[in-house]
Amino acid sequence: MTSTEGTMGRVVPAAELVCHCRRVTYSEVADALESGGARTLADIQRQTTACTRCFGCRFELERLRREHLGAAYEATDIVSLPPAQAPAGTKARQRSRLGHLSPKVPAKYVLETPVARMYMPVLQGFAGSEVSSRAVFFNWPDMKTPADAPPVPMRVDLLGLDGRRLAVWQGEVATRCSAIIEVADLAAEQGLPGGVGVLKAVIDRERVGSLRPYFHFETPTAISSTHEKKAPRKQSTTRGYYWVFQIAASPVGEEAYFFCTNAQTIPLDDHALVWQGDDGTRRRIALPHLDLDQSACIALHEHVPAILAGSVSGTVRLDPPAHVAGWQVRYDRRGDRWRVQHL
Amino acid sequence: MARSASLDSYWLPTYGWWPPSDEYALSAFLVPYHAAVDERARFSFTLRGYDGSDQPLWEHDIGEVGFGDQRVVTLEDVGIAAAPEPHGGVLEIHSVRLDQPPPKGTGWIGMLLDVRGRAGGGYLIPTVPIRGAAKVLVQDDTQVVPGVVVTADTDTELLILNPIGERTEVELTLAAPDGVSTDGAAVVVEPWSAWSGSLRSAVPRARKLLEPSNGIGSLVLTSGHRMLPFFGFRRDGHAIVSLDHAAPIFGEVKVKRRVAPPGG
Repeated sequence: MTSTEGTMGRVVPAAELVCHCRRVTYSEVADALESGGARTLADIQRQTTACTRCFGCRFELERLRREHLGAAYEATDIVSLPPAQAPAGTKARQRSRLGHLSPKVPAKYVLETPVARMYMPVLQGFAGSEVSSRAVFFNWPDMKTPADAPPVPMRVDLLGLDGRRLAVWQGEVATRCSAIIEVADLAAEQGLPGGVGVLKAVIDRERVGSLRPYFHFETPTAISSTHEKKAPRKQSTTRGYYWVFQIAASPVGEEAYFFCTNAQTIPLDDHALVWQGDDGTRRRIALPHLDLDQSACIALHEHVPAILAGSVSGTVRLDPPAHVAGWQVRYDRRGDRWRVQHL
Repeated sequence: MARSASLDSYWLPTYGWWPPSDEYALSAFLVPYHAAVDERARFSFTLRGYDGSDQPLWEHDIGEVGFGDQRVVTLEDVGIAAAPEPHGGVLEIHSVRLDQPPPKGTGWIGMLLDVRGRAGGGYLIPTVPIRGAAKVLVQDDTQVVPGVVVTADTDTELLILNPIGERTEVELTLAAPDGVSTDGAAVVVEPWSAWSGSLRSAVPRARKLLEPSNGIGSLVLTSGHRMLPFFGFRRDGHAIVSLDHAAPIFGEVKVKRRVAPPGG
C-alpha cells in the first residue's frame, strides 16, 4: 500500500469496526441486539448511529440481525434513515427535505449524506485474465483552496457484486499529493469473489474538486483507465435520456461487458439491457434486482454472439432509463487487453 | 469561441478526435436514445473534420433521425479523406434536436465514438462540448489526470484537442504521490488542431520523479483557453487500448446540511 509523506492510509482490519463512518464497533451492535432489544435495522441505527451516513454497513448489520434473531428475522427491504434522525416534521423542513428529490421519489428513499460517494469497477484475475486494478486520488489545490488546507480524509471500501463490504482502506490525502489504492492489497485478506467487484470511495467533503478518482485495469500488455461515477445528489426514479453504449463492427472481436452499480437507495428493478443491432436484431437481457451498492457485470457477448465475432455494429441501452454508475468494458482475450469507459 | 454550426439552432456542437486512419478506424454512433425519452423527438446530425482552420476540411450530413432509430457512420465507408498526419484532426459532431430548443437557451448533445485500433485497442468515448456544459467547475483553465504512468516499459500518451480559433499553450505539471512536482515545457496546440505526444517526452524528468512510486503519479494541464485533453497508455510497444478525457476541477452546488451527524 502506498503511504508517503503526504498521503497516509492503511487497510483497516476487518474485525475492528462495523460502521466506519460513525466508528461503531461490533460489540456496540451486539449490545444493541442483546441488551437494547434492537430488532430492526432502524433500532440499531437509533441506538448506535451505525448505518446513518453512507449505508455501506447495511449488509453486515443485516447479517448480524439474522444471526441474532434466527427465525424471527425479517429482511429490511429499503435502507433509509430511521424516522428519529430524519428532519423534524415542520412544513418548512419537509419542503427543504423534499427539495432534494425529484417530486416522484417517495420520501422513504431519502438519502441524507453530505459526503461524496463514488464508485469504480475493479477486476482482479477476472475471466482468467492477469488483470489487476488500482484507483488513484489526486488532491490538487484549486483557486479556492487555502494554502494551509488540511489533508482530506477519505475511505475506500472494496465491495463484492452483492454489495457486501470485503475490505476497507482509511486514509487522508494532503494537498498536491496522490493516494494510490491497489486492489490486490485490499483483497489480500478476504479475496474478491469471482475476481470482480467495486470500489466505493467516501470522501468527507462536499466539493470534490480534483479528488474524483481514476482507476486502471492493468495487464502485462495494456493499461486502460477511466474515472469513477458519483452517486447522484438528487435521487431520481426517472432520467431524461438512456444510458447507451456503442459497439462497432471490427475484424478484432472483443468480449463486451456492461458493468453497473446502483448508487441510489431506490432499488433497480425490472430493468433490462436492450441490444439494437444495425442488422435489425434486437435482444432484451434482464438485469438482476440491485439494491444500493449492489452491482452487475453482464457478459453481453454471451447473449449476442455477433458482438464477439465483431460482425455487426449496434448499441446497448439500459431500459427503462435509470440512473446507475455504469461502464462499458471490452476484453481482447488474444492480447489480454481490457478497455473500460464510463457511460 | 466555438460556434453554433447552424444559424437557426442554439444546440452547440461537440468534439472528439479524428485519428490518423492508418492506426484507427472511426465509427460515430448517432443515437437519439442517448438524448431523449420522448417518442416524438427528432434529430439531425452533421459530422465535420478540422485541421488548422475553422473551415472544415469535410462535412458529412446525416440528415434527420427519429427516436428509436440510430445511425453508425464509419468514416472510411463514406469516403472521408485520411486524417492529417501525424496527430490527426478535430472531429465535430453537431447534433440538433429539431422538435424543441435547448432547455436553458443553449445546450449540447454528445454522441458516441467507437474507434478501433488496426493493431487492437482503440478509443471508446462520448464526444465533449467546449461550451454549454452545465456542470459546476471551480476553474476552467486547469484539468487533472490522476494516475499517469511512466516506467521503463510504459508511457502515458497525451492527446489535446483545440476546437477554438486561438493558438493555445498548455502547461504540464507532473506530481509524484508525495507532492513533489516538476514542469515540462509548454505544449502549443494550433487552432482547430490535435496535438499528441508522450508524457516522457513532454516532461523529461518524469521517469525519475515517479520512480519511487512505481511509475505512478498525477498530471495537471493548465491552459489559457479550455482545451480537450485525453490520455491513454502505451505498454512496451503494444497498442493504446483506450483514451479517456482529463477531469476538470469540479465544484458542487452548496447544499445546506439538514441532518446533524450524530455525535458531531
